Amino acid sequence: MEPQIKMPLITNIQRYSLDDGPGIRTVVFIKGCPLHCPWCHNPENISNKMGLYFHADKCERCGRCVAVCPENAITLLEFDGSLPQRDRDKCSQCMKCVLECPTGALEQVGETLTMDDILRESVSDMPFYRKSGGGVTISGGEPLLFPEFTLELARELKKKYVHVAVETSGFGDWEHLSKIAEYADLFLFDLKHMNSLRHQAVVGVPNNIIHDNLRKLVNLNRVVVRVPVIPGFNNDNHNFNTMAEFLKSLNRPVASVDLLPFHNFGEKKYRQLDKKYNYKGMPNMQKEEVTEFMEILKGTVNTTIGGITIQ
Amino acid sequence: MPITERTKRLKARCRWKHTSAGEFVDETVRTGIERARLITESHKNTVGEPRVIRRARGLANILNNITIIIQEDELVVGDHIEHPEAIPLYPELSYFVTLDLVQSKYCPDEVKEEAMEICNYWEPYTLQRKGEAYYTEDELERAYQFSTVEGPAFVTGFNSIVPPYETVLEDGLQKRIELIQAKLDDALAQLREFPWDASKNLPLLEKINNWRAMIITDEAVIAWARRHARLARIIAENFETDQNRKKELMEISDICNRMPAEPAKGLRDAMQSKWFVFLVAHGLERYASGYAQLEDKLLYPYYKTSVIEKSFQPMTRDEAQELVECERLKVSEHGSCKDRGHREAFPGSNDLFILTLGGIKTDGSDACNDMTDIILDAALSIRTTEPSIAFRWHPKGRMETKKRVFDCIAAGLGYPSIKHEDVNYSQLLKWGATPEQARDWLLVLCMSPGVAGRRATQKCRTEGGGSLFVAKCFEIALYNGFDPTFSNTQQGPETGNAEDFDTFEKLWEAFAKQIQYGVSLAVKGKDIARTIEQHYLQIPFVSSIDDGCVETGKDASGLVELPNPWHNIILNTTASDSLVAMKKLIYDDKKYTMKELITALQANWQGYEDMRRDFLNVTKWGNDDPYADEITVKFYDMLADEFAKVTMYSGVAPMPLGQSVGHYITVGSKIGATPNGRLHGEAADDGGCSPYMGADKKGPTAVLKSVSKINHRKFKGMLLNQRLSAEQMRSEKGFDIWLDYMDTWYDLDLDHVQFNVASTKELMAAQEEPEKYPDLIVRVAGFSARFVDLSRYAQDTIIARTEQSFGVAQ
Repeated sequence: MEPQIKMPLITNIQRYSLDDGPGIRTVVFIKGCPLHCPWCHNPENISNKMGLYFHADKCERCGRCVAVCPENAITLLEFDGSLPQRDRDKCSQCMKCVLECPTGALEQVGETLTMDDILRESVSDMPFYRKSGGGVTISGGEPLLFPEFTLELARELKKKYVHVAVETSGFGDWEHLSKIAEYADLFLFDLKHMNSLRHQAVVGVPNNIIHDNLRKLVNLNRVVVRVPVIPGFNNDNHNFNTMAEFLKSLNRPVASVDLLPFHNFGEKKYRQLDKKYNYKGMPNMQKEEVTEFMEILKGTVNTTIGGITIQ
Repeated sequence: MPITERTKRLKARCRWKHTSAGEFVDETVRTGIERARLITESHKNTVGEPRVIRRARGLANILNNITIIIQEDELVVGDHIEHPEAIPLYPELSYFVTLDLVQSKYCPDEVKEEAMEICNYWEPYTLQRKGEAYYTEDELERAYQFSTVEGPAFVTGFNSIVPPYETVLEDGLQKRIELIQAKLDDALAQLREFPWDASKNLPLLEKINNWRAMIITDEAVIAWARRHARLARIIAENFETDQNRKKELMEISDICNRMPAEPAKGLRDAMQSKWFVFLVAHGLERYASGYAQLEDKLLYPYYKTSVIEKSFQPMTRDEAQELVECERLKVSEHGSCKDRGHREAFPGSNDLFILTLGGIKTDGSDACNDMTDIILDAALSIRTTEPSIAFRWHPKGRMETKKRVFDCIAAGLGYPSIKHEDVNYSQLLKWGATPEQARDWLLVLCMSPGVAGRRATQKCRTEGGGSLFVAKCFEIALYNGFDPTFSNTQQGPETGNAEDFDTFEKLWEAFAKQIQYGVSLAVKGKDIARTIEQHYLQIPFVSSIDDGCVETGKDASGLVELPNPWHNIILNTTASDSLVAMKKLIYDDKKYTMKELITALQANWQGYEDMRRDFLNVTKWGNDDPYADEITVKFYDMLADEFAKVTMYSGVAPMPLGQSVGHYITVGSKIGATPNGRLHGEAADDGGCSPYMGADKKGPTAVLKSVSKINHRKFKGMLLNQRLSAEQMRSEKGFDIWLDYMDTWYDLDLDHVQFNVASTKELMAAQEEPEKYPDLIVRVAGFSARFVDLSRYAQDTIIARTEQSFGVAQ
């Protein structure tokens, strides 16, 4: 019998994804991430526990969630017409409120799926992968947080001749990463800030492990570096000059760099998770605002702006 | 933008005939009287003559006397009516339709009395009264509800046709007359032979009448075209002051003198000749919907002469595009006389004008040519909803043409709709077309393939067309054939009440019986109408341009050389999703009893909201889910099996064709609450095998996977709506991704796909400020419409279709 591997919760297996690797892809979103980037547009994937969305537009204030909650974590004021409030600290993730909600205003985030379920859904769009040069992207959250799972999924996908991409912050054990690299066809590898202190202060971990991993990974696999360009965090020439130096110093060049200008599409999710959004009111960054960084990196490596196509 | 100042002006003053909720959007639209007056006059004057001769003289009387029009700026001239704002009446077809129009606000006061007199004069002679004679009162009542089936063709008067333009362009009508005269002379000579042989000779009598009628109409058409020639010259010589326009008018005069009497020589010839044929076949001889033609193939030889070789009617490529723009505006202005039910069924449109482009030639090579590109360029530059375009997709199709198809779709025109070359080609082989014939296929209406060519007149509405409303049949199957939500009458056979169906199979069986009853009721109406048409509503002009009719002496309304029958299945997904939900919650999980469900449905789910949520949450068609898909595929197989039991006029079984027209709105409103969670009166599913609006949660690839499980080759056609994100389509990689999607679509062996590309934001903005969005076009069903011409309700159903966007990292 094979040893039990630690299975993550899955928030979504999203078919027809066009921005996380080449061609038409299916993205497996793993729940749980060791970083806490304040701009994260998938905030539901930061915690590795079951989550809860509240869709205010669907709520009819019936109060059933209040009645059913064993932790008394939900309150609803009868008279002022306001919506029910959730005390997330008290929540024990029992999901009774979700089952009780008649309108779908409460939605469970994260699901326990078997490897078979995940595989079946991941390869459903095979005819589209072959035509478009697409495949499956393992994303999150952070796949390296569940190394056995990621390895197993990549291995199974390769048995089915699927192109596998792994989207990672690079923060994890080299031992894990190197094993996964045997099966992955491509890594989408984030670089966020070149200054380790600044990196640690904002996203919660230093960047030295990440940079070491990237140095080693380029020897084994095809890597596309992705840089989220965040106003007030890393959008300065010095940061990108240092990044260019770093990329130049690698043993083998990365395939390309993709600059991802800041966008605020994740804001709604923060509301639904009762989380504070740190970039409230911040407009989407325009292509022109990152052109100069592209120019800096271009001297070293092929650089594009994109990833997200919706403007 | 229109390519020239001329077409800009023509577009600005185009008298659109779009309807919304059954009424014309443009309030100046009115009924004309001349056609009705002239055919009545002739009917009275020809008493006692053979019926087909009376039909021919009726058309001749119209052509000889109807007011003819040449409008400013026009390059393609001629109308089927005395004024461009008017629509004609066809009092010989349906009494109800004529009465409805005459009594409506569209009939001007000054002719109302005369129109009513004409309407009443014709009543006993109408197709309608003749057809009704073969029905019981009860049956008629059921057929007239327009709820389980569309009203019979003899009541709606709705018909369509594909005339063989090829013969007119290649031969000219004078040559046709010679051919027919030769047949006539031979026949008369044979009658003089001895010894007398009754078996050989007597069938000639009817043929002789038919041939004589054909010659009468061809001569009348030539004379009518030449009236345009004289008028153009009169304007040029007496009234026109602009020298350029004077020259144009003289050229028009020359063209109308020769067309359609002689073979076409240049592109202007061909366009004008084709237009004259269209007017007579679709608007003057009788009303017939459609604008079906392989236009790129038809026009290419003349394009070559005029644009490439410049040896006759020389012109630039831009001038050719301008000519196509002019044609599109003529079609947009062409007013048809549909019955109210069909006006409601095509919201935002005028009539079903659909031409076909692309495909594979008989020699196996790609059929796309420069004319294909020009037609697509003109569609994009002039931006009219009509005529719509179908594109025959195959791997060999040239990329520059596919890019143009993409550009039209990405711009949001809603067309071309795309049809699978091999699925459609193979289908025509089934009824005996040779491989060469089958290569020349086109869409005869919005969805169905048929053979085009010199002897391939398609009689669509009595051979194909017509609707069976599957979701309504499903609903009455729950109530012993009774319709408790719209008519309160017994609408089908008694097949038991839902509470009695203790197994899923029993429910299935009752439903299948209602389907069988419905399809038989509908097909019977078509066959009866067709039989009557041959005796009273012959179409000698169309017959005269069909090689088969000329050869055999038969009228085109009756001749069948290649059967091509189908009947539309409409509102399918509402029924199939309901079956899935019932199977799951009542028969498998036993969470609810049938009695509980029926109680909730009759309460329109009110007071049963939790239960409704459960039924809504059962997995739906379009998500590549094995449970829902298995039942749905069986459902389609059942429909195909029931259709296969029927035999039609043309000797074979009709195939089902899945689509929606605008019926999903109008007939949807006649259906009570359904087990898929839908409320009473809500729109039903909007197209063929498309997922219910908003029920496809897993994106376009999952939709295609689900849909590919249906065996499309058992169906005459299978409509699929996809709404793609405007941002995605218009982004840098839009074309590449779409090509990958289309290539996979082809591999999956699907019959059809069409796209709506407009963002929800854009559509909602157009609802707020319609005056700013006159050119925003959307795909409704097998046709496109200007969004602002649609009723709010219809607009909302379009917005509700799931917008399939890029998977932004969720």
